[in-house]
Amino acid sequence: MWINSECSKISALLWDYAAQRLSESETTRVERHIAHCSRCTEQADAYRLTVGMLSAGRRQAVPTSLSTWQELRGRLETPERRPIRRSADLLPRLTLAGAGTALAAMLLVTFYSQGLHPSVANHPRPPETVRAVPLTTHDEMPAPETKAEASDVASRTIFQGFLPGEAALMEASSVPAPLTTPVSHPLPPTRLRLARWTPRHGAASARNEAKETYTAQLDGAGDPPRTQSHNFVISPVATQTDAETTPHYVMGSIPVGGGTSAGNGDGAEEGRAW
Amino acid sequence: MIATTGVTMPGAEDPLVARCRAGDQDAFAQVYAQYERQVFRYAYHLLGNREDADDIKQDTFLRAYSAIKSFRGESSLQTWLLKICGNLCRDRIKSWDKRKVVYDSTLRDEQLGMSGEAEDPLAIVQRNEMTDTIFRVLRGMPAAQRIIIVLHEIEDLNYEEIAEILGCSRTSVKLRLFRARRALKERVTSLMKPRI
Repeated sequence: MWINSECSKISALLWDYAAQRLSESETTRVERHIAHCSRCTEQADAYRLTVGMLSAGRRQAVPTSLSTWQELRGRLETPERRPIRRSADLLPRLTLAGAGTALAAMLLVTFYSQGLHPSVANHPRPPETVRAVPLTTHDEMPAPETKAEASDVASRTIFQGFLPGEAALMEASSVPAPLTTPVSHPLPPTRLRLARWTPRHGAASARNEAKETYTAQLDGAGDPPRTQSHNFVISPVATQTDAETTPHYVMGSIPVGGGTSAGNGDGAEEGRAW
Repeated sequence: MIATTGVTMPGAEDPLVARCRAGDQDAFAQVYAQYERQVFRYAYHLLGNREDADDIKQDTFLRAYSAIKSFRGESSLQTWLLKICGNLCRDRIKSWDKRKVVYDSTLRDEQLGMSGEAEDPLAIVQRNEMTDTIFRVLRGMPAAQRIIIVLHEIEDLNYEEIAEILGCSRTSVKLRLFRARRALKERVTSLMKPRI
């Protein structure tokens, strides 16, 4: 028991004994103990070996550093050196980041709710808003003989021939506000029917639900079929004669730009026609 | 018992530090010249290769330069620099994510090159072998034990200085050092046993 206690005390001194850092009295005490304790002698030898190896490495093991003061000085003068980060510095940054995120989220919500985002604006309008009815009255009309007559026919075809009772034009789920006075159509076709419509969404469409862009397929007498785009105004009919049809609309033409596109009016165009 | 090197007396403002605080780069160049070797050596022993040790050394002085105004002089400049260096080394070791630390292959060549005096080639070879062995053993030890061995046995820092660097008490340093020494001895013994 006494030996174990003494061994533990001596064991704590063996490293410094091997490194020759002990005082004379301590050195004598250790030597006296290890003279009759084989276990501590073995320990002392192991410590001596370790310390000797460590001191050998301590003297020679480190290579030369390649970085110099000039390099460091260049980095010191660089303006974007990193300061030591502290929690006090992080707080305003986090606050700013949070405020920025909240603002961006609010802007996104506003953007989407008003339909201003391109992905919303380019989305086609739901088909149930406006439904088209095929126009059939053109074929029953007599063919015009003169240009003035053709123009008159075209005018009537558009604004009178589509009145309720002859053919239903449009039905809408919502009724736009004012009645638009019909204006004469500038095109001279003897036969006109709507081929397809291209809805325009966005701020202008939101303000005036009735204004849409349509592409009319024009089939003139003796002319090859062609298509032409116009803007039309759909407005409610002031004098409804058919009480069973509600509500009815007529189209006024407002040529805006009038972009003409080639097409023969059949095939794919027919498939997409109203 | 333990040698102390480069320790300034606490309480008295080091004029070099005061000049560094004022932004004097020449004064900081003196600090660099005085401590760069020790910082590099410490980083090298902790990281095990010259490139990383060089990086850490420069980063240590960069951080010291930017934070010198917050240096209160309660510890010596040497322990403050080694503390920064140790923290950077710890971060670097963590970033390695269990990657094995590999010592330079140039180590042996440099050792041979450094011994310009007429020395017994057999002695050089034996010493190189011992050096390789001890550092291989050191690298296999846990970082906490390796740090305390390097600080005390290689950098010759006393208990108080190590306590400042590690942020613990003197008693804790003594206990940790005792355990680290014992672990090192056992590893060396187990490694050298077949040869003995």
